[in-house]
Amino acid sequence: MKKLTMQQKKRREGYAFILPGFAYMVVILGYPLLYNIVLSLENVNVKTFAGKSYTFVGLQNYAALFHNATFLLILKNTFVFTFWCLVFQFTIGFLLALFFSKRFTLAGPIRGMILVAYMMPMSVTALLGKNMFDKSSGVINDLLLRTGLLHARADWLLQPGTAMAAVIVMNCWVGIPFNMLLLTSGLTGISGDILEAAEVDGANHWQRFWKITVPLLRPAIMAVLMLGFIYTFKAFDLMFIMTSGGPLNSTDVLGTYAYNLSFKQYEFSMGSSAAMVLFCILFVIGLFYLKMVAAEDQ
Amino acid sequence: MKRKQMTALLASGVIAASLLAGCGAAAPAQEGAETAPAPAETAEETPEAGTETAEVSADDIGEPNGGAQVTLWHYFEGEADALNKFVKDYNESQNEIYIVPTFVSREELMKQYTIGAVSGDLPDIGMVDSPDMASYISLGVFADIDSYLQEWGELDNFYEGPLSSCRGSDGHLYGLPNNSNCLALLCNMDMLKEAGIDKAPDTWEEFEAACAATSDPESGVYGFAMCAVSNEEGTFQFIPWLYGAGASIADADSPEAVRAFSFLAELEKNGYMSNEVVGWGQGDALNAWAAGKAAMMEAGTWMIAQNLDNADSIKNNVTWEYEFVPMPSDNGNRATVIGGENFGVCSSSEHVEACAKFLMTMETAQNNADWCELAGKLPVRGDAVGLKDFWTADERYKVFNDSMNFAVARGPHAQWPTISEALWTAEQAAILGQADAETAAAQAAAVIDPILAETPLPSGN
Repeated sequence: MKKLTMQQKKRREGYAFILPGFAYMVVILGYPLLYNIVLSLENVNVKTFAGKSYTFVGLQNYAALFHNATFLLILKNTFVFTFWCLVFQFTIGFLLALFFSKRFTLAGPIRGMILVAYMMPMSVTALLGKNMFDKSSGVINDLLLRTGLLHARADWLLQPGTAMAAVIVMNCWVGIPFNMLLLTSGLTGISGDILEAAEVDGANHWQRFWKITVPLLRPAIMAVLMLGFIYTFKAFDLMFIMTSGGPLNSTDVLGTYAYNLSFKQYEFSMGSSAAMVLFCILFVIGLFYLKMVAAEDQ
Repeated sequence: MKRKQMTALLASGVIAASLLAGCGAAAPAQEGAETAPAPAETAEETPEAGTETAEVSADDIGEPNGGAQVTLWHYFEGEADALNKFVKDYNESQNEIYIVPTFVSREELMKQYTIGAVSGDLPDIGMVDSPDMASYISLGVFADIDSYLQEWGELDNFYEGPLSSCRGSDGHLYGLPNNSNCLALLCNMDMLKEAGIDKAPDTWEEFEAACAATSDPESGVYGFAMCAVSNEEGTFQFIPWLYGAGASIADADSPEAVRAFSFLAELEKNGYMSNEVVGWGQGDALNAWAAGKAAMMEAGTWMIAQNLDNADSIKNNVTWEYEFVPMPSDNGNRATVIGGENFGVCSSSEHVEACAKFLMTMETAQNNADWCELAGKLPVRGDAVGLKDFWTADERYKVFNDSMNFAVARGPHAQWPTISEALWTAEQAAILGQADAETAAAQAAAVIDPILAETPLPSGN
């Protein structure tokens, strides 16, 4: 037997180390993904399933989806939801992170309390939202009426536009602490010496923020936005519980739509196709993120 | 640091334990059918609302009788004890099979059937909401037990509506109906009388007038409450209006159908009905009625026993005189809708014949009458009704029992969920004013017509 060089030995060791992880990925992620891709290219549904009379139909399901007004609405909903959630949760989360980086009394406890929203299971948040935005018994209408900001009870979850706004608010409630948390850890990484030096050099608050804090925080900001996009884009439980995607699909997103197709309509292949669209969009974002991380490392 | 580690360890221990507990609840379904282990000892007496599954103990269902263990999944809550009692008697009466019932919430049960169609992890006997059965038959969830049932020779005694929901597209029977219900108009007579109306409405015209007289949207009081929620319940409550207008699902964009959509839309627009109905399940509509927020509501048979007579929150609230009347008629058309549950034997069961035998025992005339009296529901066979005066002596049940004469079945159709979604979507669009009645009806027909062109509904609906 040939003696292995040190390098070969090391490489083998390396493979051995990644093997469990790789096997896990293949079994847990690879197989369902492949299964889903195959399913999305067939016409498995309630009529063809039991008799195994389904066939390969190529991209027909995808074509049907993109010719379906409901699907296009849902695709739009998903992007609208994600966009506004990112805008609000990032801005407010960033402001809060900056605010709490000032070390004032009670900064710690208050920050901790804000984090409670993040630790709450999404299903609880969704139920809270459902009750708070309820037309006749919700606390939001009650407060608005009492303060005189409204003269009649608002429909919130009963009209398409306001229902979307309501789910965005509830998602931000969770997203803000998440953004704050990641940005705070980024902020603590910025040495106070640099800011102090800039101050000595005559830079004002505004200049210090834009020229020092933001550039140094760039990796954290990008990570927060990317992760935020991924988490928000695949939202499911919030809508599923708070609005069931309604009224009239106005808060349906790709996740709930794919579930509805597969589990309520028994259109398994169509459901898979919708899920694949969701996957592909996130895959592209994920690649972008990985590339960015690699670029940052260099 | 040490303390933190301890906390983390504890936390992960708790999580792991809860995961295991989760597995335990589902375990009976996967256990080998040949052995008959004693059911879990630590089970609760009755399933609590909100729990996904609940197990039973040997006290409830009898000691193992030496027969093969078979599982039965159901979503009876109030009737769970009675079901267990029935199963106990059956387990003690024979030793071919030993039945272990498990409560699984309805939503969870439906998901399990869908997943089970792929994985084969199904119970031996399963309960199913009647309009869903056709889809599951098509998916291969239920076994064809037609030959056993034909041999039984009792099928002629069953009402066709409920029985038809057990039929596959091949005309064979895949189960038996267990109970029926339908919808009627529940009126708060005190409110009507206060508004100067002495008699519960009988036609759409009278109904609309009664709504106008009793509504006061400013103070949150409406003439009418119903359920128009975005699921099967919404469609269930819409069908009496659709068919009452003289339309049917097969012509969802006919002028008659448009009239049904516009009638409900007008109720909302005129302030006779809250737009919250699009978010209300049938229980929510009943709560609104019981809180005095609605003078009339579209109510189901089961609400008498489950709510009006026995639920404290409702019973104590309803201090007024109330009356059930048939759903109002329009131009001489009157309609209501059939609801109810079926039981089937799952195709993966190794004891199909023995399980079918159990279903037949469960649905003898006497047993069906006993069961439906206890559950406050309507029998599924004509000869059961005559065995007791329960459905004729109580005026309330009599209204429902008589209404079965003009009750419409939903489907059966393998693509019923898609048809149903088209109906409640159109109804919501009309009620919320997102589309006018013509557009809403046309949108529903655009989905339904191609489906029915391929596979029509059985004649009669």
